[in-house]
Amino acid sequence: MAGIVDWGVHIPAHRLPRALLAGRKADSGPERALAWADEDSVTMAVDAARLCLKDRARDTIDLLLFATTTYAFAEKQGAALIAAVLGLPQAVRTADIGHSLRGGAQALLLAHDAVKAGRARQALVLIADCRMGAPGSELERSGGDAAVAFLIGHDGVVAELSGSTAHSEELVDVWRRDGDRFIHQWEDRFTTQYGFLDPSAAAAAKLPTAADGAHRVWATSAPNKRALGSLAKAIGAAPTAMVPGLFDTVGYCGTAQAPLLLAAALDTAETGQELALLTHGDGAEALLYTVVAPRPGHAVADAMAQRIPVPSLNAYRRARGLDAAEYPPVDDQGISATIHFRERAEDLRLQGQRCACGEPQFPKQRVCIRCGAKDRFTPEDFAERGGTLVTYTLDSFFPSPTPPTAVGVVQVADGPRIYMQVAGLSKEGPALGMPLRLAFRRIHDAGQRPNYFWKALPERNVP
Amino acid sequence: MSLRDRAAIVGVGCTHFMENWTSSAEDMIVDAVFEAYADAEIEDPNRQIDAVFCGSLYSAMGPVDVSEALKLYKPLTSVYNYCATGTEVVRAAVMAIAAGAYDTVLAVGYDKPKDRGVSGPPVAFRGVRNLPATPAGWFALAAAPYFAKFGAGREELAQIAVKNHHNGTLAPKSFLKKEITVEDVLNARMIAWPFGLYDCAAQTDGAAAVIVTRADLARNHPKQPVLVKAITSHCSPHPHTDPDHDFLRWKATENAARDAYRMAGIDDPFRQIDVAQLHDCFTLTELLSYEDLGFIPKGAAKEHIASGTFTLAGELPVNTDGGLKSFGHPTGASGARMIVENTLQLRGEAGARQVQGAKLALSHNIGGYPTGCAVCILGVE
Repeated sequence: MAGIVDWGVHIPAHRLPRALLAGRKADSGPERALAWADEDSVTMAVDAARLCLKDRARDTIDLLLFATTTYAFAEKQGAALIAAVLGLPQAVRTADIGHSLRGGAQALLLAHDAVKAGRARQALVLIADCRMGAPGSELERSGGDAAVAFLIGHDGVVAELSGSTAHSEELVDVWRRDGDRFIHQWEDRFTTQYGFLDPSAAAAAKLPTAADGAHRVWATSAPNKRALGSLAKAIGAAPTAMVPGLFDTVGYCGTAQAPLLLAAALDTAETGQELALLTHGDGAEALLYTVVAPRPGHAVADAMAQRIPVPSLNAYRRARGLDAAEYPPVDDQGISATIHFRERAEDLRLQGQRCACGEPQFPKQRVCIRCGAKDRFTPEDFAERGGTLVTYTLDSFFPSPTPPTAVGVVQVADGPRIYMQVAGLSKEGPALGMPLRLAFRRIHDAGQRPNYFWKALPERNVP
Repeated sequence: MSLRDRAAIVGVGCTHFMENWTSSAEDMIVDAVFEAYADAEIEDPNRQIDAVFCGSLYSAMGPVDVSEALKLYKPLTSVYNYCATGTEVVRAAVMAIAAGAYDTVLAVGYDKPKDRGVSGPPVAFRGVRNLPATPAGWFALAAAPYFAKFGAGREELAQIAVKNHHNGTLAPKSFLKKEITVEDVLNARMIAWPFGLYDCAAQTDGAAAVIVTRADLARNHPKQPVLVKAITSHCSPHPHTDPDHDFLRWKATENAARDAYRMAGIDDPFRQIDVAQLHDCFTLTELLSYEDLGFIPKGAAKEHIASGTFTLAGELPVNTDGGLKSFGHPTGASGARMIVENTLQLRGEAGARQVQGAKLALSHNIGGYPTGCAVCILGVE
């Protein structure tokens, strides 16, 4: 029986206090998770996937689905990019699922179908969104950013898929037109009633009733606390059966919202429990899981634990590119697609090489820096290794929403030295010899497209 | 083949280094070169100059700039090695003379960065994974390990800036003629830790020219001949990927200095060299160079800075005209400007900044990440 084998969660470390958005001083009140200038749905999905796949083989993943409404390209696949970053076999099938907030549930169902039908040994489903409300809007305050990864397969299943329903609906409630940066929404009560409540309740009603003695927990896409309460009433569930929404810590994460809550439920699932994923958007979709072999985890708690308060509204505006500029940025800064093509393994997987003499090197070159031999190299990926900081500077000249930028030489464990940015530092800043991990980030937007590479981050602070 | 005593410098010229809004690269080339012509008493360059060597970082058409500006239609060689370009131009000229290809050549280093509309280097992305090019960030990478190991800090760097600002006030053609204090340096806005604004060289426009001839022909010119005792260049692995680098030194300087001392027959540089112009693109670069050039042992800079070893009144005055820091840094011109200054020092023509009785003078350029270095040692009998 196909089901969820493992899961991973990425919540960006930057948290924006809602008080700042309301023009007040930062306080300890509600806040939202914010993808920083070097993060987007792709980098967040990569991080969630790496956590999900930690210590797991990747060569049995035959299908990768990427569900998001926030991806930088209208034409150019995100899933193929992520498959290259993760080093999945090139025979992997890849697809993006977009345009609707229920894309995550749709991707999960497609993955289950493929695994069940024997079309894929394992399928990786990545669901990510960055909710961008217009400056000053309620959607800016209530939005949140997150990514969730699920590994679907036959072996080691924690929760089996035991049912699914769909309900399609057509209305104009929440939308972004092609080219729009910000989410737009029709009148709030109309949107909640006809865009969220009615279709959600319709999809939920078609699910089989709970098995004898089974406790059903609901991971839903309710956009706020009040809507969550209304939904509980509408589907006849006890308020305690609804997974709470993280509304005041992470925010409402669009496509990733219900999947994030499903991950939270999986972290604490018990045998025999039923987990219902209920997501809306141009209708609604419900997936019912039965927990068969719980594996207590802390994917959501770990992701929540990484926290860097955004220092000011100015820093937020710079990170999100919200400041007006008279002239558009230059469209071509010499970023060559052919060089990108030649160097994609280096850029996307941090692939270097090891000489027959044993010397690891990055980037790939023809002649060994140690022994001088030519072309005696074997490719080697360094992204999953940690490292230490050999030296650093804090560069104030470097373009950044919050200068200075830490830049340094990283000694990769049993690997080469790599010159890279050091991100996610606490106020204490960098220190010689500090342990580091590597993270896939949006490094700059030269050529007016996202350019991705790796940064070094302090070792994950796990509670 | 040793280049020692094969060639002599018989004429030098240098423009005022400044933000030269009202003149072009060609204007500055003409000013520097005609000053050198006059210094060497060259009246008919088309007869007396056999070839031209030139170097510039920012000009994409160096040979055309120089030959068109001077109307000197001679064999022209364009040389490039990042910030070591100015010394490399003279090295190419000396090698050509030593090889017997020419008798008398003109070497010109120049740059006109201030026409680009930015202060400092351009912060541009060159590739998908590349970080913006910020030289301050590259040269700063030696700071944390050096400070941790040898106990020096921003105060020692500040004293280098204070010294070079003072020397600059004594050089008529320098850009910055302003005394500063250690507090000024420490309180300036940060560029790339540990470098504040005053730890960074002043980027300016400028040109410098040197006329080099066969040593045995030097007496045809009026000024006391200044012999090239050694001129060397070396490269080192890129420090960002060098698996063995300790970030306490820049290896290219160590290598180029070793070759230069061998060529010049110097075994105790600190005692034998009377005056030195070092590449102070950033204060730490000058500090590391004291040690990398073998003037003092590795780690000893802090005590020598405290005791004033490298001030004008010290045992080995460094950057007598203010250096890149305050004379200015038109990249391709800097190495040639250092050779001009050392020539003036060796002839006793350096005015208020004269190091008395100087017989042997060293100049040093380092450039890239840094990856390339050139060293020139001049002497008079």
